[in-house]
Amino acid sequence: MAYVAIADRDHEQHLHDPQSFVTKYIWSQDHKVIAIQYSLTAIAVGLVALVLSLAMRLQLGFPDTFSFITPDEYYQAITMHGMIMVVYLLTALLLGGFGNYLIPLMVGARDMVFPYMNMLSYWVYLLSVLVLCASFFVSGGPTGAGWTLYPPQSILAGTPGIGGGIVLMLVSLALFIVAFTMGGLNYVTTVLQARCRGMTMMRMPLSVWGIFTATILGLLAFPALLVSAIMLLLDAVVGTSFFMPALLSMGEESEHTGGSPILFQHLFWFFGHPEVYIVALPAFGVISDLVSVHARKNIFGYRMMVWAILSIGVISFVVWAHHMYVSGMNPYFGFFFATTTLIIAIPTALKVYNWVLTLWRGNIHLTVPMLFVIGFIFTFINGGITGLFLGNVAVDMPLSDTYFVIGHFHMVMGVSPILVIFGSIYHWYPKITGRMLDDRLGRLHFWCTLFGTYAIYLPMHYLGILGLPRRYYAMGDTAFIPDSAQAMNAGISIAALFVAVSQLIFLFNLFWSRKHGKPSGGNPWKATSLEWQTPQTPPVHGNWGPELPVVYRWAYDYSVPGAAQDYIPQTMAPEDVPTEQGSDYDGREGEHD
Amino acid sequence: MSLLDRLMAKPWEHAGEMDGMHGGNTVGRPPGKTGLYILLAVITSFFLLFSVSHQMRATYPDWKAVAEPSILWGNTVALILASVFLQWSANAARKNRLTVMRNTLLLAAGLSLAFMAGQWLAWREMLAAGFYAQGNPAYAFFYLFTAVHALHLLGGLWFVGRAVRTTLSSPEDEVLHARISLCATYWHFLLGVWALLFYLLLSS
Repeated sequence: MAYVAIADRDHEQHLHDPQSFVTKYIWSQDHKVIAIQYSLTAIAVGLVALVLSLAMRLQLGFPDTFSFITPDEYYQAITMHGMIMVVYLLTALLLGGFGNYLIPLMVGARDMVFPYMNMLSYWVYLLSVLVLCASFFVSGGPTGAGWTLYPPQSILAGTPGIGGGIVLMLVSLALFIVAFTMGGLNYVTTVLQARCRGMTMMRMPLSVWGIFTATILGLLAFPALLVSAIMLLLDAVVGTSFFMPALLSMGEESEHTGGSPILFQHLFWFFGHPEVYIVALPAFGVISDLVSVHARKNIFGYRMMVWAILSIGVISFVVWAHHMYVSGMNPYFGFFFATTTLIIAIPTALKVYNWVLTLWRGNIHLTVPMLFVIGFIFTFINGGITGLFLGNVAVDMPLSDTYFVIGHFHMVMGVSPILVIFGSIYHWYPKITGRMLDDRLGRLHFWCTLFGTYAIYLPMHYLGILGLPRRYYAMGDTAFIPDSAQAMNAGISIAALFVAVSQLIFLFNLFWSRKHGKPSGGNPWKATSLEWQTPQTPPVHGNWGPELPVVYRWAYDYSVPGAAQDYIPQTMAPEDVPTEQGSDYDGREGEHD
Repeated sequence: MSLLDRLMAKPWEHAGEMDGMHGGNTVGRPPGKTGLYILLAVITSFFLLFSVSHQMRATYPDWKAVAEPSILWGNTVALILASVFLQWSANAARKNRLTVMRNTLLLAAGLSLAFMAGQWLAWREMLAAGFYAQGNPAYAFFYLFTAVHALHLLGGLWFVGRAVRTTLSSPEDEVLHARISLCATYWHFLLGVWALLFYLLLSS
C-alpha cells in the first residue's frame, strides 16, 4: 500500500487551518505559534523570578543598606523565584516552547497529532501562571514556605502566605500539571506516530530524543507532585492530616493528628529529581545537535547518546532520596541512594565525553551558538562534579544547609540550561523569524553572562565550605563567619546585578533583530536536519507544502569524505549527493565510525 | 522489528535505505489509541502514588479502620456492568450493528451515572455516621479516593455523552466507532483502578 503520512490521511487534512487573526495568533492550533506563546509567557514570568532574585541578593549583599525587603518578603521571594524558575520557566520553555517548535519540524510532521489539545495545553499553562501571580496580590502575599513547600511549616502560622498564598500555589501547580499532561501526550504520540517516511527512530536528531524522553519522565513524575499538592491542599483547607503531624503551634495544640511530613518529602522528590532531568535531557539533546552543526562533524557515538538518554531517564526515578539525607533516613537507605546517584553519573559523563570528542578535530566555527555550547560543557562539568560531592551521604550532611548547595544547584540546573536556551535561541531564531540575531551583541551577551554567572556561583562553593548557611535573611554577628565572607557576598550581589542587566542586551537583540536583523535565508548554518529544509522560512502552516519530506539518512552527515559539500541534508537521496571529482563516494556510507 | 532492534540500528550506515516497515509510526495503532494508552500510564502513576501514600500513612498509630458503606458493593457491580456494556457497544460498532451499539452505549452511560450517584450516597452515609475527613486519615482517604476516581469517570462521561449525541445524528460515522472503542478501554481501566482502591479501603 502506498505510504500516506498520518497528517495527510483523509479527515486529518485542513482540520485546523487558521481562518482569521484570532485563530492564527491567539486560539492557534499551529505548533509553531503555540511554541512562541509558551516561550514568551515563560520568559515573561522568568523575568519576574529574576527580579525577585535581585531583591534577595541586594538584601544578602548589603543587609544594613536596604529596607524595602522584610524577612517575610525575603522568604516569599525565595519561594516564588525557585518555583517559577524550575517549573514555570525551564520546564515550560524547554518542553512547551522547544518541544512544540522542534518536534513536528524535526520529524517531518505537519503538526502535533492532537492540535486542539495542544492549544488547550498552552491556555491552561497561562492560567496556571496567572493563578500563581495572583498570589502576589492576595492578603498575606505569596507563600514563603520555600520552593519545596515542606509541611508542616508551609501551612503553619508564622510562615508567610499561609492564607491565599499557599492555596494559589498548590492550585497553580495542579493546573500546570494538567497543561503539561495535555502537551506531553502530544509530544510523545507525535514522535511515535507521525514521523515522515524514512525517519526511523534512530535517524531522529538527539534534540527529539531528549525532549521525547524528558516528556515521558514528566508524564510519570508530575503525578507525584499532583498527589502531594492535592493532599497538602486538603491538609491546609479541610484540616486533614495526611502530612501534618500533631504539634503545638504558637503555644496552641493544632487540630492535626499525626500525619507524616516525610511522606510529603518522598512524594515531592519522587517528582523533584526526575524534574532535574526533565530540564536536563532536552538540554543534552539540543547541545548534541548544536555541537555537531557548529563543529561540522557528526556527533560522536550517536547510539551511545540515545542509550545514555534512555538510561538516565530510567535511573532518574531511583535517586530521589539523595535530597533527603538530612531527614534522618535509615543509613542503608542513604547508601542505596548514594550508589544510584553515582551510577547515574556514568551515562551523564559519557555524554560529556562524546560532546568533547565531537569537538576533537572538528572544523569548529566559533559562532554565538557554539560559544554557548562550550560555556555549557564547562559549566555542566563544574556542576556535575560538585554533584558527586553532594551525592555522598557523609559529604552532603555538613554541606546540605550551606551555600555550597546553592552554588552546585545553580551551576547544574540554572546556568547550564539557561546557556543551552540562549544557544538554541541564537541557533533557531533565523528559522523562526527569517532573520539573524546580531552577532556582536550576541558575543557581548555571551561573555557577560558567562563571566557574570561564574562570579556569582563559584564563590558560593567557597562560602558553603566555610559553613555559610543558606536560607538566612541576614547573617548578623555569627562568630564563625568572617568579614571577608560578607565582602564576598556583596561581590556576588554586584555580579548578579551585572548579569541581570546584561540580559537587556539579549532582549534588545531579540526585538531589534526581528525587524533589522540580516535576512538569514532558509539554512544559514548549513545544517542537515529537517527543520532547515522547509520550503519557506519561517515555515508556514502545515510546514512542508503539498508533499511531506522523505528522509534518506541520519541528521549528522557533516564533512563526509568524498562529498562535495560539508553537509548532506537528511532529505537528500544518495544519487543526488554531489561528490568530489575522483571520489568513489556513492552518497550512501560515510566513514563515521 | 522489535524495539531493541530499532535501538540497535546504526543510522550512519546505509543512507538511502528504507527499512521497508517504517510508515511514519512506530506502533501499529491509531494515534488516538496511542494517546489514550499514554494517558492511562499517567493516571496509573497518579493512582499508584495515592495507593503508596495510603499504605505508608496506614502504618501510623492514629489510623482507625473504617467500615465502608455496603452500598459500595452495589456501586462496584454497576461499574462492572457499565464496562461490559461499553465493550458490547464497541463490538457492535465493529460489526456495524448500530441499534445494539446505541442501546448498550446508553445503558453503559446510565450505569455509570448510577455508580456516581451510589458513591454520593456512600459519602452521605459516612457523613451521617460522623466520619468526617478531618477526623481520621482513614476517612480522609475514603473521600479522597472516591472523589478522585469519580472525577476521572466524569471526564470519561463527557466523551461518552458526545458519543451518545453522535449515535443519534450519524451512527455510521467510523470516528464514532473508534471513540466508543476508546471509551470502553478507558472504562475497563477505571474499573481496574476502582478495584484497587476498593481493596485498599476494605483492607485497612
